[in-house]
Amino acid sequence: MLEDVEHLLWLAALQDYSIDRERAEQLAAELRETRAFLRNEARALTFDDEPSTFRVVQALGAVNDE
Amino acid sequence: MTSDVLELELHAVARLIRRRKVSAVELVQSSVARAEAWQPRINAFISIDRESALKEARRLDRQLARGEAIGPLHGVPLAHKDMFYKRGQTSSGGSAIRREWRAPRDSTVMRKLEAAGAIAIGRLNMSEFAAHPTGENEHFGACRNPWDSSYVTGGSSSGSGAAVAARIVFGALGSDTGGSIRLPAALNGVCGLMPSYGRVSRYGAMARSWSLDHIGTLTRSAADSALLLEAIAGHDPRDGNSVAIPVPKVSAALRQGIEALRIGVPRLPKEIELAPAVAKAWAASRAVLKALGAVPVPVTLPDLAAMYRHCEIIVRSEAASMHGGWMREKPQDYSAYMRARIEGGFFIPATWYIQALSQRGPTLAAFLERVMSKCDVLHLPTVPIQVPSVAETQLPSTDPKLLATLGGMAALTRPFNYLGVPAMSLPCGFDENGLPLAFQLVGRPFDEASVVRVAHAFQSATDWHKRRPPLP
Repeated sequence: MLEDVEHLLWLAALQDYSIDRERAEQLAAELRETRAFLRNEARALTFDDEPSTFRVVQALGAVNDE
Repeated sequence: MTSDVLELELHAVARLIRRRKVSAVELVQSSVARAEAWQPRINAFISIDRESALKEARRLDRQLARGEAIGPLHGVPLAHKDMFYKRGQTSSGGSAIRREWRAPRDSTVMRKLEAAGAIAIGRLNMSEFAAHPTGENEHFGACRNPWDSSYVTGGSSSGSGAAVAARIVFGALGSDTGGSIRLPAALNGVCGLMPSYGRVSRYGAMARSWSLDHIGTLTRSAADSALLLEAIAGHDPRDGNSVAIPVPKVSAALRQGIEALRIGVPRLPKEIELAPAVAKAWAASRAVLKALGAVPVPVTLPDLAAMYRHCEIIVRSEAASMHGGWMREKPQDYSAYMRARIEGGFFIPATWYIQALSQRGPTLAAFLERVMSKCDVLHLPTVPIQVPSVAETQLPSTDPKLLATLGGMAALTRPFNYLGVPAMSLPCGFDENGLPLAFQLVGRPFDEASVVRVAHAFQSATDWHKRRPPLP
């Protein structure tokens, strides 16, 4: 726990931002939860998936009346 | 000219102007008078711009008198969320930081509306930097629901929802990053259309999250949303994500009816608990669509909660990036809520952000294959809960109960920002408190026409969209 908080305080300082310890603890808890979620989700991704895939799928799935 | 004209829908009043049955000046005068009458109660406007609106109205009336070509919105009073830039004019974004900031350029949507002949009578209230789902704003004062001012409007396009519901203006622009058009539309009993991502240019519109922002409309009817969408949509090379796909004649699709159209009805995940009044109104609206000839089809949605969480990662990362300078220099100028929303983004690893974006394509592909291959339009509630009272939302900004309410409000809207598909909220009843209830229609990418077509058919058989709050 302490390590996470120290890390977040350092990360804030790295970005010239500042948070107090209480907020760092809250954020650390949120981040741990997000990490658990993403680890699970990552299994659905393939090596070839990239952010721009969205635009390709959108264009291919487009409905155009004209 | 009486204020009765203010009760008309946009397309009807535009026709009256064209036939010179009413002048733009008369309309603006009535519209401004009504705005001023409502303002103490609902605070829908950040600024009411009477003189500039009248000047423009006089110009448009002269143009019409000379028989010159006019646009489809000629002389119609509108007003917009205060985040669409007009060169040299203030655009606050609902923030203290930009309270006096003057835009260096015109937004594409404002240019298009001007070209169509619309008149802006003022700048509408909104959540600070388009981020709060209830419409709270500590810098300009909260916007309140015209049906009952002890209830919230929803946000972030709070003023847009309230001003259209109060019959002050005939339509308004809003923006939607997680529900910010559809939530205030639902809570105020008006229509809110979020077009497909890339359909409407974001150029010159204040950003909340570049990847998820959609510019759209709040109107009194589906037919009006078609008219406004046609005026603002289209490819714009100045928006890097604008799509070069022709804009369909959405208005023409309205006449087609919905016989045999397949309406996807999802089984909602058990963690999304619908208020009984919401569930009842949703079922009743489905029965109306079925009576009109549509065919309900059961569908299974992809994981809504996962899409919601991906959105959260994207919004926080992008917001921390765009607000980073101000957050370091003047964090005190943000509300506590806004600061807390943004600062989480400073700690999200870039790899997580990219993963959230990368998952978007496969998720949309799965949605198209598993859901939209079985139906033409998806039908679900807009908001799982009933309109919250102001008291319910006035807890400390980090209170877990408040955060749960706020998160719950967007549980059924935000996932569709992730998918970038068109979605529309429309009114379908009232709860026991006299506050509006709504449902949502979702279409395939760039198929706004089907969404608006179903909405119009529903409104041809019902009159929920014609109800308005009593005048102040």
